[in-house]
Amino acid sequence: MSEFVFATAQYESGDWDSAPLVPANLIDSIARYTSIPVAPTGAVVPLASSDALRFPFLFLTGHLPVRFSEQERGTIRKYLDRGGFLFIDDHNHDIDGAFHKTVTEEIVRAGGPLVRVPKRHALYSSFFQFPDGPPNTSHELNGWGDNLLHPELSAVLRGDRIALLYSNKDYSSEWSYHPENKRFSSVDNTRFGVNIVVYALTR
Amino acid sequence: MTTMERVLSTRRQLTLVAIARSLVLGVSAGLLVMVVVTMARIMRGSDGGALGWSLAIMASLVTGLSEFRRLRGPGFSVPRVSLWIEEHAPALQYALVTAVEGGGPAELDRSVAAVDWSPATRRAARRALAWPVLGLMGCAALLLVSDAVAPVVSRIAGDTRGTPRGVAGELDVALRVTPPAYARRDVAVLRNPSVVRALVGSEVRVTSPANAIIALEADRGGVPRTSGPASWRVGAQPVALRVRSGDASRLVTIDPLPDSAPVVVLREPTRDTVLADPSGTFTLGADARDDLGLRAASFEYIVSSGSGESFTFASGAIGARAFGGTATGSIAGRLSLGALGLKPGDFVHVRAVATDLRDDTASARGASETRTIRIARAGELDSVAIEAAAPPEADKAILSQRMLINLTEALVRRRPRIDRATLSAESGRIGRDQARLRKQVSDIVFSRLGDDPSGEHFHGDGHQHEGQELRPALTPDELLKAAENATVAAAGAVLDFEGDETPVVAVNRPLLEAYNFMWEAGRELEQSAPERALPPMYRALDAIQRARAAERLYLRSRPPRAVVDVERVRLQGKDRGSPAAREPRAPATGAARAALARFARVVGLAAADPAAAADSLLLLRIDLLGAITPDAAAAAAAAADALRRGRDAGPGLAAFRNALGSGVQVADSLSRWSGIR
Repeated sequence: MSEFVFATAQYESGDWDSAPLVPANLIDSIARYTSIPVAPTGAVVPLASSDALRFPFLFLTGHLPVRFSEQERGTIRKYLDRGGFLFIDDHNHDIDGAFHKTVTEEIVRAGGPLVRVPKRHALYSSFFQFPDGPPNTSHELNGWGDNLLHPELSAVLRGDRIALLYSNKDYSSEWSYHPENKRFSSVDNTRFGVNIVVYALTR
Repeated sequence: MTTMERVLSTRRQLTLVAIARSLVLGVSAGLLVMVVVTMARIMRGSDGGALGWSLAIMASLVTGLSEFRRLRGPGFSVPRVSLWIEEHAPALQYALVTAVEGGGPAELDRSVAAVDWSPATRRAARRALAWPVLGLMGCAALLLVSDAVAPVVSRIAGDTRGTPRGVAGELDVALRVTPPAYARRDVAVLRNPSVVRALVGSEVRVTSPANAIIALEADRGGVPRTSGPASWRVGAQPVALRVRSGDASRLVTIDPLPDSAPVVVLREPTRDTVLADPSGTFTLGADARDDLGLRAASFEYIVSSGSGESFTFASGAIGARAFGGTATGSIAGRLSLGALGLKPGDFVHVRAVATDLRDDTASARGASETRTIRIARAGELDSVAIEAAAPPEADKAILSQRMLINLTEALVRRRPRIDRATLSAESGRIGRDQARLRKQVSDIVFSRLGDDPSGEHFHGDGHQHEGQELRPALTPDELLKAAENATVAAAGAVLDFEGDETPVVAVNRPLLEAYNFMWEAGRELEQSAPERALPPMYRALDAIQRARAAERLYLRSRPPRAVVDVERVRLQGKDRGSPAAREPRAPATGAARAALARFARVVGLAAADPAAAADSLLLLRIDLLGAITPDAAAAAAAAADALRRGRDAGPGLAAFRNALGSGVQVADSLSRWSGIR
């Protein structure tokens, strides 16, 4: 079995590389909690290239408005239809922000309608248990954050499988730190990332 | 008859021969083109009739005129005709030209009169016309038999040109698909199709073989026949048809394409409104589009007055516009509330409607959502929040330099198709976005380097100062010098270096470059020259990228290239996962199982009897057409075509199989590895 490579999607518009430490952090978490063979470094793959189809999991984030090119849309469509899992996270976590509005439009155009992921979905129990749905980030919580809570994630389905997971909870900010710094946390906040990857690789 | 009269008579004959030869050659060329076009049309399965006629007429004209011009040369003058006669009648001994020009001795006229050159003229005419006439007859014969020859050629060329090649036992058919007249689409001629996608109301007629008849393969829901034995009127339901001629037959499935109603979007007013006073004017705006073409669009309003159980209604239409078949269109209008005679408590409902070219059924009419304008009652003024219609929402987001480049590139591409006013408006809009972004950059740079932390004075909103030139306050060098003074030099110590520059310079130089390039790009955009704006925009983006790298180096250091020591951290996490048991996939339903079983039979037949497999696959596809995606339906059609042509149907079959679902079945017996045999 070939090892899992954490791939970050590079797209033309916006800032695709706004969370440079997320890949390493999740790679560390996958190794730390699971026995999934995983490559020690991630890969960056242009979304306009068919190389994206070689990776079972793609991570996409950014702050700025997103407008996919026709090639990028075509790759996404093929990627979702052929069993890939695309995780898109809004690095702003605001309400109706530029990234959110544009990327959701693009998601619908490229992949199909977004539906809410119920809190009892298998995504929340694929490895760690999250009975209350997606964990909140420190940017959302009152006191630390701005109290803008996004209680649910959205998804594009292929059959009963989540093919594209969309979050505007700003996990990109939450997880973009060096994995060595995990030792300072009482609770590892990347555990939900493990769930996402495990779900992507097993469904 | 004098010598001159004889020469003039010959000249007339030669002119007629030249005209006849040119005509015959021209017509031959036209027929030849028609033969080629007919063969190509049948091989490609398209119509192209109009194109064929145009090419044939053009070829005829060009060939005929060229030939006549060649024969005529400088003109059919008397000396030239005389020379031609001298050349073809040696008995004249080259005396004709002299005789015609006059002034020669009388013996000369007598010797010329003694020579009869009419046999030479007839021989020349026969020679000039014989081969062209033979060619004309050959081309005509070719054209007559081309319809019979084309299928043979099609079969020979089928493998290399993608033309369906009938497998043994299947009927070769040609179908003419005539869309309904309102659609204004071309007639299509299809050769051996597996699937015909046609607008509802189209007529599918068998043009070859002549004695073929069409019958429903299996009656699925009582589809009525609405046309003759060799044709089929496309209805709303997909059908499988069997085309028969003698003992041979072919299965053809029809995918009906419904004509969608126009899609109408009301742009203005943007939302419902409550007004205190029934006066003023509302601006109306709407966009409409249709798959085949718009006929007309207008705004409809309904005024409802009254209260309790007593209401009166009045309606009307404004802003009507005819489109004549364009795919998209916009309408605009103004609704004067004063002219409607509204009273407190009245409602005005406004919507936009559009009709497409069909215009004969309710589904051909599309409508936008309705906006309601209400006039507040006198007694509720104190408690009702009066909200005016909101202006159209403006995009307040700052666009990235990459996005601005994308927009500008798109504008440059569209430039040949848009008028000057649109170009100026769009270029100006991008320029204002560029100015906003430049303002962001300036806020960063100027607040660090200058005395004014608020940065430059912003002109991105379009306002100007009389008599003042639009330019940054300081040059880059001045700003960098200020940076040095304000930070490193003033502090008297160097904190860090990148190359041979201090960190402050390394950070700020590319930002300043970006800032200046943005100025340059913005200026070009304001002057409606987007193509000239692109180079500085590219350079600004490059400078921003460099600034980002420098920024990280200076402020927080570059993010380390994190290589995870997987072996060291493997399973060292504080927590242990407790994944829930995966739920088994739902077993396939009866219908899905039946479809999978039919598909399995198709696959089983594919090698032994591809024609039967293709037929079965097409029937399965028709039955599932509403339940599978268009891509899967297309894959099934491609697989059926591939089976009929003897090609690899694997990819199409695989795609269609995926669309059929997982097909998990619950086994009644224990599995083999359970230990029980």
